[in-house]
Amino acid sequence: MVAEYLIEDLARIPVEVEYASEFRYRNPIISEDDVVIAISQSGETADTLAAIEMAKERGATIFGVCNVVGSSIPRATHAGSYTHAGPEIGVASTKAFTAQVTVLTLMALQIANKRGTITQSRFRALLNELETIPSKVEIALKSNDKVKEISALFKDSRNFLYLGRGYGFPVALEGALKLKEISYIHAEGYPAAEMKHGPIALIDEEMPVVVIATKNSSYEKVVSNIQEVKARKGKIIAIVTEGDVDVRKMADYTIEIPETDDILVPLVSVIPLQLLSYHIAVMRGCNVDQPRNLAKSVTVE
Amino acid sequence: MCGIVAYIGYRQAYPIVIKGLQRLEYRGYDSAGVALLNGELSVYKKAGKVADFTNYVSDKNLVGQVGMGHTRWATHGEPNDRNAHPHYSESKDLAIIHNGIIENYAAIKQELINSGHTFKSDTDTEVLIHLIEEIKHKTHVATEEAVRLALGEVIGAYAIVVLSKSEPNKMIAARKGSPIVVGIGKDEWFIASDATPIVEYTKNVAYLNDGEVATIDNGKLTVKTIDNETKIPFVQELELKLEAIEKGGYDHFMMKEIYEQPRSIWDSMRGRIDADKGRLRLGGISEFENKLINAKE
Repeated sequence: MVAEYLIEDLARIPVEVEYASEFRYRNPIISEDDVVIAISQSGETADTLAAIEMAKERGATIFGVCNVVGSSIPRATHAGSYTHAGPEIGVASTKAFTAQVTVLTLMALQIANKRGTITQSRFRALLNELETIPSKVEIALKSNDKVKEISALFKDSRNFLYLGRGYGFPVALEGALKLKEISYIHAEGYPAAEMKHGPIALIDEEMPVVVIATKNSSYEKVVSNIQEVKARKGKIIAIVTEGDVDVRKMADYTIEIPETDDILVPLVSVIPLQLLSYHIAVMRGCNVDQPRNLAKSVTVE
Repeated sequence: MCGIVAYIGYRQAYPIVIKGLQRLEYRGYDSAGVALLNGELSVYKKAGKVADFTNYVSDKNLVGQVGMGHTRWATHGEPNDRNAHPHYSESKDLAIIHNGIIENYAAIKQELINSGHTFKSDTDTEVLIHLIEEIKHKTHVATEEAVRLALGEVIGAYAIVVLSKSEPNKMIAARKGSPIVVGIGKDEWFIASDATPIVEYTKNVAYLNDGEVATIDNGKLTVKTIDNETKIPFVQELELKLEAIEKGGYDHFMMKEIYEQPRSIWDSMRGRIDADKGRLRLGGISEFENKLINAKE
């Protein structure tokens, strides 16, 4: 989904994000002009492989983004890029996710540059910014102690809501997924503005709401969404840009991350969410590396 | 990311190397291999986990007091027996294990092919050991000097160990970007990607710095930089507990992996972007670039 936002935003090519398992059964409209990007850490995901075969039969070009070199998906695709994240043993994906986002960002930028849909100066600025991401992630990791304190306060919560807009929305989904996977707390990621059409009904003084509220074009809008939650006494845990003042006044807890370009925010803002789910799961006594019912490489359909 | 471990001393090397590989298996588990010096320089390797490898070598000659082993996480060339480490040089006098990526391997490989080298694998690593031998033959220097000169020509990241059949009392290691620890025992030496294979034999270790080449020759350790400056290795005492080791000191793999992200994100960009020159090249898509550029609007 981050890739959809990136490729549409930068390269101006329409993108649809699909679950491989749904895609292969719903007779999708695919032709020779289409490119299918198959994303899988293990490169062995059975549903993804089947979806690739189907899209291939219909003449599409298949591009793989996988971590395990020489696995089945890279062999089944026309072309691809490895994520080079190194072996990931924890079942809940962390570094493989950020590596996928990194490679998809490079891909979107390369296509955008070739298509001329972004200016040279923006292209170069983004390349420069990309090179600073590892050190910004390093800084984001310094929030660990603070995240741990917050985790202790919410470890017994039964539900979590994660909100974000724009590039913050896929991050909200990833944050909610991480929490569900390893702590077994029910969590939902939602577009911040859509909250009022449903999940807002769930909010009470017991409900922790994690908001991606970094400085960007939709910052003011997110601020109003925070107020909507506050009005219903929900507890706000906000991921904010270093030096933020406005959200800090409203939120119950804030976690700072370094400022970066809007399109690269997912890579940095997901870090405190990974730490949050980790600490909550450990405090609840869960087996973080091997959560119940989950396997690393899903080779069944 | 791969795991490397090596031993030179008075004990049998194979059991130490295999135990070390099992400890390092978290660093990669798609193939494994071992080289042993026992008059010959024998190389055994196999795709699969370390356990598959130990089954495979159960009927082989595993004698030798010098040896090295590798557990692989493929970067160049899919995981199969051929691409597993160690790799021989052209004459099979030298063998290498390598953790990292040689970014300019393609250009070097072409030059070596032009001067008559033949390659058996698809790896960047095999190119490096052929280059070392080529330099050794051309300039008539000792192996460690050839290693140093060769590393001056490559771009990328590496932790390597090199053994030579003609110099059986010698073990050479070097690093840039990928870690190397040298364990210093009494009349025995260990080399590994991290301290986990070493901790039960000795607490005295020296961590190599980027751009350093360590040579253990007839019981003596010397360290030089790639620029030929002699260094005095800083020996420190390990404070590692055995139970913490596979997870590199973290309680869970997940936490270790979260903390690896500054590095892993960099690894997924490395060799692909050059911001100074405003260049970006994702190798895999170049060939299908037009398809992507013209994808239906």
